[in-house]
Amino acid sequence: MSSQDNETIIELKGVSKRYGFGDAESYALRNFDLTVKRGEFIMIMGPSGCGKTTLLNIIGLLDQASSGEYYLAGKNVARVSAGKKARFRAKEIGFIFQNFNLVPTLSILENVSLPLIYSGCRKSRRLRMADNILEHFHLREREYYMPYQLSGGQQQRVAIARSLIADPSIILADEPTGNLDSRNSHIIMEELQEIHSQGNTIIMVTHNPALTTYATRVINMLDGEIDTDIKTVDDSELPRGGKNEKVSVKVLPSRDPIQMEITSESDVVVSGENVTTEEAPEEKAEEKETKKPAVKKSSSKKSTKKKSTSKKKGAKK
Amino acid sequence: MRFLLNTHFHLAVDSLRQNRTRTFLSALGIAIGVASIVLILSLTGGINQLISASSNKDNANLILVRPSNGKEVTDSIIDELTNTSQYSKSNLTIEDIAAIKEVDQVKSVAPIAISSSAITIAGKAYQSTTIVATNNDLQDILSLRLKSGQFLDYSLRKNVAVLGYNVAEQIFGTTEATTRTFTYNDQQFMVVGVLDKLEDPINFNGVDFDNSILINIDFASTFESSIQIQQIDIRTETTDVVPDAINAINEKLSKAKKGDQDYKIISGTDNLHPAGSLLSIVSYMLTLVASISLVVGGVGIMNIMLVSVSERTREIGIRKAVGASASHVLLQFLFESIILSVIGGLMGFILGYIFAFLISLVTPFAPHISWQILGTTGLVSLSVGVLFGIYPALKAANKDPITSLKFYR
Repeated sequence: MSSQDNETIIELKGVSKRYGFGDAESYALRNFDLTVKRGEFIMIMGPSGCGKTTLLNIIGLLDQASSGEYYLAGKNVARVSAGKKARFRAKEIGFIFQNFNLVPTLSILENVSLPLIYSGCRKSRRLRMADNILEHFHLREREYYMPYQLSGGQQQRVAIARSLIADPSIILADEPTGNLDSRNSHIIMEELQEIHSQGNTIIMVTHNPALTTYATRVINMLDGEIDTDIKTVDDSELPRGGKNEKVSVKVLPSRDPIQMEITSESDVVVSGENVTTEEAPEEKAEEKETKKPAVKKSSSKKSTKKKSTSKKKGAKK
Repeated sequence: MRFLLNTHFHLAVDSLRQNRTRTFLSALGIAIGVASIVLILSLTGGINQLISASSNKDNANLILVRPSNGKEVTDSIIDELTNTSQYSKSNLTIEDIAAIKEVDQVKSVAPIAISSSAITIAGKAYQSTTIVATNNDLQDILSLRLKSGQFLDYSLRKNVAVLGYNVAEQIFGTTEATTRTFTYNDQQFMVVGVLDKLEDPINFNGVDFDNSILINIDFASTFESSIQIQQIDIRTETTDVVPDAINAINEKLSKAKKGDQDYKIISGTDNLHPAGSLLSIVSYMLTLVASISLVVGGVGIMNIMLVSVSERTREIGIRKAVGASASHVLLQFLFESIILSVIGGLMGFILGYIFAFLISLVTPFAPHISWQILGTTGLVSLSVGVLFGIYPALKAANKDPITSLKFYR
């Protein structure tokens, strides 16, 4: 461990989460210890009901531990007021959910700008930032669409854009690929990989062992306890930067998600610069097909979009 | 903070826009309540204006003395409603008039003593006339104009009478009724004048002079054993001396009555008409009844907000996950209900005045428009919004983000 190590950002000491009382008492987490350094990409795996989501909720300040101590950026969370926790969620934590969790009544642009409302951003600035980040995710031409008008993969990319917009230091992803096919899963994972390479801390819950190749650390959980904890990348090699170095997402080189086709796991280039892989011709054709209506619609205005897209079939919820 | 309020306002407007029909219907509930209140307030305001326009005309230097039993105003109104022989309790006397006349600041004094026994003309009895015993000063005090003839002049002749416009027409068939005679209480009276038709039949005397016969009180007291003076009208030289005059009159009267406080002195801008206070009580009662419909509208808003909160449980969960605090959510929903009820209030204000104008087409009074009514409706709808919106908003704010995110509908 050299002095070059990134600082500790999350520290759980003997955290337990108990549900019910007496005979019905059960533990979602039992004496859980975890230390996360800035820049780690942690995958949490384990069977259903082993407390993965509970862990994520506690880390994300949505839930409170029944006992134990949780230090977030050196502060004991137990002493922080609810309002401060909310502010911390707005500015420092980005959530990505399995079922995307976009607000169905708001447009993509407004959905992405949602966290900025609560960190005190003016509307024009809010929407400009959302527009910028959506451009990076190649969703700019759909920013006035409603969530139900997008495919699952697109929705999840919107959700990732939303989690990133306030430039958080921690990103918590609860099975972000759980509702997606393998192709979209890899697109999402590529996005997360790139975010991580900028020095962001990511904690992700997954059931898919194939995805663990992206991680710098894999934790297996069993019955609310850590079963195995494997670091695949040494602490000193963790990416730097992120929030503190002011590397914002909008200066990243744009990539076309179509080109981000991954033929095998070993092909993944961690650096994030221009992932070049061979393109499967039939998939390119498919992508074009889905893109067609978008081009047509993007020229029309907000109101007409709503009408025309009711036919659109790919609306997943 | 201002920025946040602004944001919440826009959020609320956006979500209300998404449910236009629902927004309109729940605002309509408030609108009906507010409209009925506006209607009542503007119409009673119109009536009050009509009364005060007629009774407060040049009344700044007017002082009234009325008999009183020392009860509260509301009690005496109940007396007015229940006790028909209220006027028979008067303790004011002709001596009191003489005493008031001695006060320096007083220009003219006229008593009003009403009786309504029948008069006879050539053996035929006329029942429904009001006989008002008064004196010569009344013409000056009320600025009465004569259609023909002259006013009462005790020094000229005692048994004279002045007829109201309608009485003259009814009894003699003409307003040129001077020198005609009639009999009242076995006394022969000669008509010396007929009053012009009054512009404002409602006045502070509670007497419709168009339908009454005026006679000399000094003469009436000679044949009527106990004359009852219902009111003494007094005018001072200028408006400045009114307070001094009231003090002086009070002194004189209490000396004459040996300290008995069985009279009250009303002046100038006070509500001079006996019907005024009764009207305001009725209007308060009506407003109270109308506010029941406002409560119904408020319950409608609460209902719709509760539905909205449970429909948007997931949204609340998402907002909390991305950093909304409980107070953010509370404000967002509270703003929604406030906007709903304020929209309803505005709708009701306009609706109420439309109704008031429609009613004014068939009634003599114009609806009363004032910023007080606008202020009242604004305040009322605002407080309805807060009152009935706070519970749903609290419910939304206290939702647990984790369970909210798991919520499916």
